Amino acid sequence: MTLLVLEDGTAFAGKALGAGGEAHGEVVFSTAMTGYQEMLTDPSYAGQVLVLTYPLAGNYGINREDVESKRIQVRGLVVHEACDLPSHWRAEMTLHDYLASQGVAGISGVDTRALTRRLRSAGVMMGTITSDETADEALARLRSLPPYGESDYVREVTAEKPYDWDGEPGLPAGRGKPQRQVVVMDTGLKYNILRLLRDRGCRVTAVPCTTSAEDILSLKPDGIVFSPGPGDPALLDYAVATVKSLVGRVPVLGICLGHQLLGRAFGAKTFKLKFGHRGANHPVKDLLSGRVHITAQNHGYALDADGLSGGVEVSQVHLNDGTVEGLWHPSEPLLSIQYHSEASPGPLDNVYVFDRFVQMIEEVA
Amino acid sequence: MPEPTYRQATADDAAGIAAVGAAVIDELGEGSGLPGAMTAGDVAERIAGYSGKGAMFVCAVDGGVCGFAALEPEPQEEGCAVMGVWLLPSARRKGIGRELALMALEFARNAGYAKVRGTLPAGNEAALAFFSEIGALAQVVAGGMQYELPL
Repeated sequence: MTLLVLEDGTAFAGKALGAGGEAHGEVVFSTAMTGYQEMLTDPSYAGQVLVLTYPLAGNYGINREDVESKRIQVRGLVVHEACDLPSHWRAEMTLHDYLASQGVAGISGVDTRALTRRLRSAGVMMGTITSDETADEALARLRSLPPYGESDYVREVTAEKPYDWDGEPGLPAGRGKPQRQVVVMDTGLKYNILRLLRDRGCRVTAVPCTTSAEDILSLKPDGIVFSPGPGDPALLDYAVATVKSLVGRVPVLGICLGHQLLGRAFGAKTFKLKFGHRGANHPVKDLLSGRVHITAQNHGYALDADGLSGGVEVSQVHLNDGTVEGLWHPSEPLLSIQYHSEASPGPLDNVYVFDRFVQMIEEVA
Repeated sequence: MPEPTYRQATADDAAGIAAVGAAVIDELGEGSGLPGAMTAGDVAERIAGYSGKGAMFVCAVDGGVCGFAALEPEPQEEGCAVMGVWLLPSARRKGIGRELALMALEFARNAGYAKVRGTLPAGNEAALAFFSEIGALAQVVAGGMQYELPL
C-alpha cells in the first residue's frame, strides 16, 4: 500500500508506481491528456509532485525521442491508472519501469479528478508519496519540510557548462545550415526550444543560468532566449540582473520563467497563482491582433503588470483569469510569452513565436 | 470460508448487529466509531425509526451476522448522511466491508443524499484505498481519518 498525503491532511491510498519509497514536493496538476514523458522530463517541474488529471497514463509507453531534458525532473508522479501493456511502435519501456530506472516514486489508483478538485479549491500545497509510513507519520514529516517557494530550483536544473546543441545522441540535429547564433540562458530549458531554433537555421548555444552578461555577449549572439524553468522568480535576482544587462543590446525572447525574468527586469513583481496553469489547452488572447491562441502552459507564478516600466507593454492575456501572458516593446526587439510555444506536450499552434523571433533577428542584423 | 450473503437489515438482524457492535467496542473502545453499546432492542428501534432516510445492511456467513453498515442522516447538514461499517475481526480483509459500503452508498444515492461522511480508524489503509478509489477525500485527524464522498 502506498499513500499520498497532502499538507492539509488529505490522504489517498493507492499502489506503488516506479521506484517506491518516498517523494515529496509541491503537488500540482496538469490537465494535458497526453505527453506524460515530456512532462516528466520538463525541468519546470523540479521540486514538484505531478498529478495527471487525465485518468490513463503510460498507454503508449516511453521512447527515446520524447525527452525534454537529461532525466526525469518531477519528484513524484500521481496517476489514476498506469498502463503496464503499452502499445506504440516507438515504445521501449513502461512508465513504471522508466520511473523505477531513475529512482522516482509514484502512486497509481488515486482518483486524480477528486485530487485535482481539492488542489483547485484549496490551492497547491506540499505533499508526499510514501510506502513506509502511516498517514499520521507522513503528515508529521511533511509538516517539518521546507516549503517549495524557499528553494532555488533553477540552480539544480541548469546546465553545468555551456554546450552547442547538436541534437540528442543518435538523432538528427535539425534542418538547414545554421545562419544565426542564438544563446539560450538555461534556467531549466526544454530540448524542444533548441530543436525549433535549430530547425529555423539558428546555431544554438545553451549557457548556465549564472553566466554573466559579458560572457554571453562574448559568444556574439544574434539573439538571446531566456528559457522556462522552475520555482519562484522572486528568488532569482542574479538572473534578473543578467537579463537587465542584455536587454536592448540584441533581440531577446523570454519564455515562461524567462518572460517573468524579463518582466522583473522592467520593474514588475511576480505573484503565486492559487493552483497554477498546467495543461495543453489554455486560451490566450493576443491584444495586438485580437486572435485567441490555444496554448501549452506550465507555471505557478505570474507577472503583475502594474509595475512595468521602460516602455514595455502587455501583448497577451489569459482568457480564464486575465493574467499577463505576453510582453512586447514598440521600439525594441523584445518579445516574451508566459506559455510554451515549444509545446512538448501540447498544441504546436504557437511555434510562430520562434518565427517572429528569428524575423526580429533578421530585421536587426 | 462459506459464501457470505448480504441484505438490508430488518428487526430480525438486530441481535446479530448488536453482537458485532459489542465485539468491536470490546476490541477498539472509543476508537470503534460506535456511539456506545447497543442492545438488540436499541438496534431494532433504530432500524424502525429510519423511515426511509437511513438503513442498516448486514453480511451473514453460516447464518450469523459478521458485519454491518449503517447509514443515517447527518443532523447538522441537510443532504448529508453519515456512514459506518463494522466487521468482526474474522470478516476483515475479505472485501466484505467494501460490499456493505457499496450497498449503503447505493441506498444514499437513491434516498437523495448529496454526500456521505464517516470516519476510518488509524491504520486501516485498505478502507482508505477503497474510499480513495471511489472519489472520497479523507483527512488525517487525531486517531484516524475522516472522509467525505460526494455522490
